[in-house]
Amino acid sequence: MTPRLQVDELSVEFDTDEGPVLAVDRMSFTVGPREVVALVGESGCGKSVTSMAILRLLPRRASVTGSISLDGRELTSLSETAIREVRGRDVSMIFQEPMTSLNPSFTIGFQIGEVLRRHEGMSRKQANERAVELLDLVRMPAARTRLREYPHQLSGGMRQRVMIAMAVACSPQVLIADEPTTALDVTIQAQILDILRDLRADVGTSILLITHDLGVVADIADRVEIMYAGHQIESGPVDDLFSRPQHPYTVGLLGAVPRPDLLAEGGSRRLREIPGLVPVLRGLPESCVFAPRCTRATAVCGESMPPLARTGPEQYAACHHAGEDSPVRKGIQA
Amino acid sequence: MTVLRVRGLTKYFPVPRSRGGGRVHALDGVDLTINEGEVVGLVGESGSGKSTLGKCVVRLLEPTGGTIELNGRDISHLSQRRIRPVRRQVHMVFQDPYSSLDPRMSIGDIVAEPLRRHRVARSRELDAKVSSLLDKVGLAAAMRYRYPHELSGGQRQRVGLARSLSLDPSLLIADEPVSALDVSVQASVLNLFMDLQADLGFSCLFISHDLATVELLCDRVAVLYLGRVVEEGSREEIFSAPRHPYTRSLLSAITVPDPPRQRRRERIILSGDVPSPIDPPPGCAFHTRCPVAELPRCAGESPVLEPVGGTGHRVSCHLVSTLSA
Repeated sequence: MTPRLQVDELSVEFDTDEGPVLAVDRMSFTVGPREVVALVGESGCGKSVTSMAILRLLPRRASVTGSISLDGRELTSLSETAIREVRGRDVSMIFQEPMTSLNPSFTIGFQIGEVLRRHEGMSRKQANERAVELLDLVRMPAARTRLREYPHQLSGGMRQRVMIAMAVACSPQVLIADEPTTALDVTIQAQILDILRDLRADVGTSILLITHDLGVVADIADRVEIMYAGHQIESGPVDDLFSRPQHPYTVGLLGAVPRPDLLAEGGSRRLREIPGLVPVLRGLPESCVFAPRCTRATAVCGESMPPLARTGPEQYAACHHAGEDSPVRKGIQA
Repeated sequence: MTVLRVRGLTKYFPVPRSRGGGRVHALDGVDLTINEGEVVGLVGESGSGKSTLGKCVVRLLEPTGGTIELNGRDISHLSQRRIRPVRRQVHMVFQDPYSSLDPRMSIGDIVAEPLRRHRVARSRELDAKVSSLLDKVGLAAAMRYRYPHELSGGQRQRVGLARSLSLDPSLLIADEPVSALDVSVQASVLNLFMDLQADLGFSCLFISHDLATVELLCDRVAVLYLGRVVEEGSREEIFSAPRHPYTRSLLSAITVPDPPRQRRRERIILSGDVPSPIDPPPGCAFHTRCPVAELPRCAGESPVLEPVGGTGHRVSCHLVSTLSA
């Protein structure tokens, strides 16, 4: 399977007043046709920066190196005019905040139509007709009357639906969804996830999902990339990674989520804690970035940052002591 | 012993005429009791009135109707002056650890403020109390000289906990105390909360939209929809045998971080959004989204919260007898 989106050795460094900050360090991953890949991590791990780098939406003070290609076409070297053609047509994005990502002074119809007029050369009338179809696709009630409404007249869930309608207007190959359900209520989250599932099945969209919610990942993703402090620390198919996590950070994250469904099976009420704080990286790490918080850390962890190494048929982990937690280790934390 | 008894609580907010007039029905006749040492979860979506209920109980808001009894005393309409001593008994932990701590006060002063206000301790005794409180929430004693901006989100939420427990309240209102925190930090704050509760035995109204956390922490659960309790029961009753169609759909929307299990879960996807509390639907407020609603009855008559089974399990639904248990 040739990947649609291929990211290779992507690094992003920000120039700040306090010196350079390495936000993303040599990320590599692919998203295949109809595949949902999740970039997972906590605040500040670099997952959003990675997604912004793909569409070249980062400010100038960010220096981006590495390669990003879409169906074999390199995006990093495209001119400003050429990348503008890619944005919204080949790769589009939905954001976490449906409140702030729509323009308050234009109608819903105008904003969805804008993408179609710009990229597909449609007339206003054609764009309106297509906008109704798109709103139906995202299950917006009373689609036709919504065209004349403004964002403030819609609820959060409806705004997110408008965002998705805009994003899929030109049937993009890749949809980047940055925490698409975080600001929404659970019943609305279920609706939005259902729409994304259908888009993948019916339209064949590939989805790069940025999230911190492991439940959402389990629900919709095919493959997972776990990020920590700008580093890809584990990677693999969703079932393997959740059932046999190899990196101590992944083990920690999965243990930190309340799992009342396991209580009946003898699970502990106590949650696994990861002591300490996420570091800010000033430059290339000289030791494992997770070592200061890691229960498995030994002398070798202080000497070098381990690269991703194969731990299973399709699973990789960046750890000197990769492996599942032994029962003894589990006992220490519980 | 009953620590909190809320009866028929209503809270309306007027809507300015320039924005169409009318009033927001934030709470519409809520009954709720919390016994000594009990942790009661209050769940619901945005606009269900769960935060309004919390604010009424600590009397940051005055209820429009109904009564709030705290340790047997009616506090629903006490004046600002007479409410002050009552505030020793009930404290609140807020959602946002960034805006709920005064940036110009040191951590020590923040934790000591309730003790000073209520003249519980002073000078050396106060110092000792602050140190022991910081220790209880897992912060080093030297933290007292720091300021909020120097602390991480998790540390700030610990300070918030120390402050709210400083007067040994009999009731704690925790309004989404961990939802602003990262997963790994949430875990440590929730563990701390469970330890403190087991240790100190305070009662707690735990307001949250995260059902997994509620199932982990709470003894009893009340489900709010548009300002009304639609179902109430023990943790087991709500999570293993929910009866109200809204509770069922809410539970089906939880995602579990276990891919095969998550794929097998039954999904009840509700259509549409929560209706506006300015103009709530007549009859059962849930009938507009209910997958099993029977018209015209559900749109005409308001159901009342009625017991199902012999225990404290109560459901407000016309169709409860026809739904499988």
